[in-house]
Amino acid sequence: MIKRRPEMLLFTGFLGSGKTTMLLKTIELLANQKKKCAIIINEIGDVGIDNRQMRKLGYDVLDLFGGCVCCTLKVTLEATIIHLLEEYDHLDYILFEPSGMADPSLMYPSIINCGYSEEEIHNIFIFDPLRVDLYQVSLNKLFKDSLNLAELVIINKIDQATQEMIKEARKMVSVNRPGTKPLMMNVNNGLTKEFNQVLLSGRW
Amino acid sequence: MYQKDFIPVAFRVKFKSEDPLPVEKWQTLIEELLENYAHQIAKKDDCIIGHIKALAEINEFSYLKFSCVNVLAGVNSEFHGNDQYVDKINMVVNSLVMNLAMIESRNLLNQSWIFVLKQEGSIRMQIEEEALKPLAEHHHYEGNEDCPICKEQHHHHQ
Repeated sequence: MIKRRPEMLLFTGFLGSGKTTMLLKTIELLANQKKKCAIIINEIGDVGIDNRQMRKLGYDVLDLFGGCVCCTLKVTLEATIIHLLEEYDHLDYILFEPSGMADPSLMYPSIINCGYSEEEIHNIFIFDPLRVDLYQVSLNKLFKDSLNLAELVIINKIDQATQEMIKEARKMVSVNRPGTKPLMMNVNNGLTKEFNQVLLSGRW
Repeated sequence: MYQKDFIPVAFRVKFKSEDPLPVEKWQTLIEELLENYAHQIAKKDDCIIGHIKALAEINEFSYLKFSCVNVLAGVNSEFHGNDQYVDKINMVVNSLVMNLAMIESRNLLNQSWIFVLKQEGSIRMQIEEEALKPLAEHHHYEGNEDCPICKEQHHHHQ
């Protein structure tokens, strides 16, 4: 019998965009649905703040430490995913949060080497409208790469950003990837119904 | 990709008060400390905050988490756990700031604490640097491939 692979959720976005919060809310939602999840975190340059937080919340976390995402991507990420696939039966989801400084496209080869197709990698790009200026200048390449790979685009922090920032963020999405409808959220307050529907229905 | 620009710096910070204080009080104090720190950074023309985050451990299951991406947005914080009084807090600070290295970052954090101390003289703060291995020494990808972060090739140590 062919073993079903767990769904692969990839949370991308620049530093501080809300990836960890989004991941935690997603796990809460999935856990409420009795889904089994594995979490992989790569905190570049960190001493492990997100992983500590998650452990305090009762989750087991697989760290991709080593300081550099290119080492961990090549060696540890692939090994970690294979370990999960081989050792954990009935796993429903793998949630992976790479460093906010890494190019998301570089994650794909390691995941694909584990048997996933590109279409099976559900990339959720979290866009922080408080950073529109930075995204337009210094982070423009990261923004475009992230946007083009994303299956879902979340404009987060809509309660903190000004209307102008949100308008500009929407414009950046529509100009760079016409037809994309970003989900507007304040992830701190919870996930939106639209997101929940996409996640739970599996219709990405 | 932006590894050369945003320098990772980590500190372990210990707080000690003469008397136990409610967690809410600690939350306010640390928020103020990190707000001051962010303001000090923002005063420097060539520095851009990538992300400043901190986790203050109250006990095995309770914590305070702080996050700051720029001065305008301020410091966001959340408390997870039960309300209690504590006189000691261990905190990890992880700071990714453009053009701000360890020593200067540490100085700014210390200066920022002085502003807080003016109101709360009975609390001590001690910073310990976290030994981060130099990133450039630890690239293990193969031969001629570009680093996925900085998009450049690095010297490999055999």
